[in-house]
Amino acid sequence: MKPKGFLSIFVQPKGYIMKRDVFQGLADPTRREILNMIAHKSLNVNSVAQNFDVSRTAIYKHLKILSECGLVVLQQQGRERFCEAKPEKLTEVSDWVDQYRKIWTQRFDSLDEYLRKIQAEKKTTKSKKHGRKK
Amino acid sequence: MAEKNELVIVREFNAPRQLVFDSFTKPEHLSQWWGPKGSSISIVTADIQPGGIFHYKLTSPDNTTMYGKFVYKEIIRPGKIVFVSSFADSMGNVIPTPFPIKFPHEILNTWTLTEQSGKTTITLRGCTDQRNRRRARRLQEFILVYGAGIWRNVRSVG
Repeated sequence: MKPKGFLSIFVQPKGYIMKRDVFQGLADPTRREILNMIAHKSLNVNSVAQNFDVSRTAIYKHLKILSECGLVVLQQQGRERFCEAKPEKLTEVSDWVDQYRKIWTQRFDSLDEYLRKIQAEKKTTKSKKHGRKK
Repeated sequence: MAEKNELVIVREFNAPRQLVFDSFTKPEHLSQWWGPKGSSISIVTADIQPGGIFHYKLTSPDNTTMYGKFVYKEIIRPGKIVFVSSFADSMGNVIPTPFPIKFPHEILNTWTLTEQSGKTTITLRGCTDQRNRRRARRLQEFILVYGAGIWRNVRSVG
């Protein structure tokens, strides 16, 4: 009984359910800029906003989207709100490629096995015929 | 070089090209090996020609069933097969991956088969639709610009 083996090619990433996907989060240049800014260390919302010409409200909106897609976590610390980057989220995007590689590697293993089998069978049949001729 | 968000797998088989090609395009062959190890496959529809489909049911050792589908775009014997693969329902409609992972609903696969001294090499290219590719390109650009050093956990996108 190995139901797990059957499904093991699919690895569930943490926190799969998200309101928005990562692509949406990265679609906007300002949001990418924000991510870059907070990649090294968490900053509070005001410090982030100061770096941009657009309004604080606009930045806040961007941060909201980033947090909805899981790229940023907003945390209240005293009277300030801090933004922390979550780069792990980006790996989810590449996951399908990894999963797909696994699937096809397994399929090709099966195909290889099958090809060996049927070719061996063919040979046996041939040599039997050959034997009869003798 | 692989396009972004494109998967390339190259695999050599110790068999003539014709046979490798048939193993993937003849239902009687395909049903013998396709599917995860230990599972069994039963064919719903096998209309393996351009525009046709291969619709199959998979039954796992614990009796879980699911359906999969290939839609063929191009079949040139014995060198090329282009098809879209997806999960499906029993009627053959495309469904999202029945697992809790992010996975494209449909993937375009291109098999190229070449033969040399009795051995066949399959080059498989898998990619998602245009929209996903554009999105993936944006992501790739982002990672390039902002550097893997910062986003240490980021693995290659494709």
